[in-house]
Amino acid sequence: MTDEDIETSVKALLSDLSENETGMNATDRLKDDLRLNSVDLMELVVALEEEFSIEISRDQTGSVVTVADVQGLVERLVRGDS
Amino acid sequence: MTRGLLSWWEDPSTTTGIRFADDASGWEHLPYTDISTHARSVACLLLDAGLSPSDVVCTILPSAPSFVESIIGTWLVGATICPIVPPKLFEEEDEYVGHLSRILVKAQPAAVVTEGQFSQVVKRACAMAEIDGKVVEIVECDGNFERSPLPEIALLQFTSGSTGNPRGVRVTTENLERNIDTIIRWLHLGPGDEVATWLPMHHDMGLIGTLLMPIVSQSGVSILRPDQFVRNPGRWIDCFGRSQAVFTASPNFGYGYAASKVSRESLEGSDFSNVKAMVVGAEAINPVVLDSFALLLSDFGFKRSMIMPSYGLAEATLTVAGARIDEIPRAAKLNWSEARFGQAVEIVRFESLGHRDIDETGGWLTSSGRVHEPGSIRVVDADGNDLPDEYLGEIVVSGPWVADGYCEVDPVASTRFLHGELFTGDAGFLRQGEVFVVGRIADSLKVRGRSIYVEDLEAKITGATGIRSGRCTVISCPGGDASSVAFLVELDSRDWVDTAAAVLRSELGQHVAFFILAGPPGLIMRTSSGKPRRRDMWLAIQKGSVAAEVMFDSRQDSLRS
Repeated sequence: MTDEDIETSVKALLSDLSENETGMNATDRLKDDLRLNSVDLMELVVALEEEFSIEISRDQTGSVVTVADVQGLVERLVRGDS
Repeated sequence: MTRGLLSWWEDPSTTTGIRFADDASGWEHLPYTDISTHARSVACLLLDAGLSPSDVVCTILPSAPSFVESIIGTWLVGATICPIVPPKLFEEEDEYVGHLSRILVKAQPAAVVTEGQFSQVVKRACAMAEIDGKVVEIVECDGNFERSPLPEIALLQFTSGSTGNPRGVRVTTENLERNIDTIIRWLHLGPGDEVATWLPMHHDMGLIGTLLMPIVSQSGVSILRPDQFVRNPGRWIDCFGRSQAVFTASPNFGYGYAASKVSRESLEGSDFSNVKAMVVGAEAINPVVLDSFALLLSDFGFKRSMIMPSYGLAEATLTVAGARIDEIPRAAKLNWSEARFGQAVEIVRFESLGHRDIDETGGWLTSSGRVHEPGSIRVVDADGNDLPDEYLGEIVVSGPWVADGYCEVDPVASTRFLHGELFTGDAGFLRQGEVFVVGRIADSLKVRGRSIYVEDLEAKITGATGIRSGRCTVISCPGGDASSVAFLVELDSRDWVDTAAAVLRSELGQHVAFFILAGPPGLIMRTSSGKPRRRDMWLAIQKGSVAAEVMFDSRQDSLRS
């Protein structure tokens, strides 16, 4: 899976959760710009784990703020870097 | 006779206990006999740490056996438990440490109980709060132990936003015992009636309603963590349809989430006919959402009367009012455009859940039922005078579950303890004994199941615009479907309006209206110590007596500069 594939899938998942129909930027913040609440964020983790066959721990999400941060985390986990 | 919080401890049930969901599809059963033994171990640990009766013990633990055992262990040594939510998903460590340290400063605990995964972050917060050396990590302990009487204050329950001023509610042992007894009598729960829950254990509904209540009555309880519920809400539903559970509680969105994720096909073979009560509360109750849940389960023995709306708040321990058993929940449709504080509400329709006219077009408000005996509810105007039926005012409650007060007096809190009564800060009205809750007055609101505190909004706007916090304030204006938010600014300039509007739009989404008012110094009413008097300002806005220019109104979505 390429980084472009990951970017496309991550953005599609975030679009569904945030009901965002106007497109999103890599710098958009999950809570402040996409308005994801705590349940949405749990759903995001579940969806990412199922989509990419990875496991995400709470510790790994502490520094994830933006759409790009989500992509970066998924890329590292898919490659087995963290 | 009211059950004591620990009356079971020396002779726990040998046949029942708590089932914790594992991360596959199974359960780990922990009998009450084991919980009793492990709680004794925590008590020994706390005594070794130098704890005395009436001290405060903060716990930062996950929804797991250690959390339950720490509560019981704390009470065994006669201390007050103060449960604090551990770091959440996507929560930055610095933000959490700041939040936790503010609570620790207020709680002044003699011990802070945690375990490995949270140890470092808790130590950082303790250092920031200048209470180093109080951290106790859970380990086995088998020292000497002499049980103390229960403390006067059993629970210190904190409520606040992330940047706001944490407010600790002092809940007495009697409050807890009386409220738990009320729940048992209200729902006709008997020995052997099992509970299933996915609620976090750290707050009133999950802590008291679905954890302490079954422990005190020694009933079985099945517990999913919130993330396990989100992953598969069918596990929660199966506790009722395919297992023995008969009682649960959840905010409105939990029923909506389950209804949207669980398929009818997956319920084949389920039987919900033994369910006694699925209580709904803690946020606005949407009758359309409840009905979608009831419809999903209706072919398998579920009845609408099993859904039981309730009203309560942490300052009154948990529950104050609720629908009667075997009653189908009812909803009133209001003319919101005419709803004014202190005046009569216009009820256009009044129907039972399931009526075809209760739809998404809005305006429907679900009844939260009648006050539990021996409590009482009245509705008052801005001066504290009683209002008649079907008049909108502030809900005031009294009864044996009204808490002892806050751990620190806050002169501008919307919720106030006055002369043994609780002025809730909730706007609502009574109709023939049934209470209808319209929303919070001035200090917070619910958006998509999430509490948004005005102090947090204010911090975000001042951060984005550069306006000094002393020159502005945010107020929530309750109105059911028509709830809104006002941002008041004491400034002549206008170059900040677009930025402030963008922050409000981003935080509130499309479904909550907001408006921005600007005026000269003095626009914002303050106490002598400079705190904004939000409730008084909201009343002034309602009366139209605020001398300010409307800079932005989201309902028109245009600048009027």
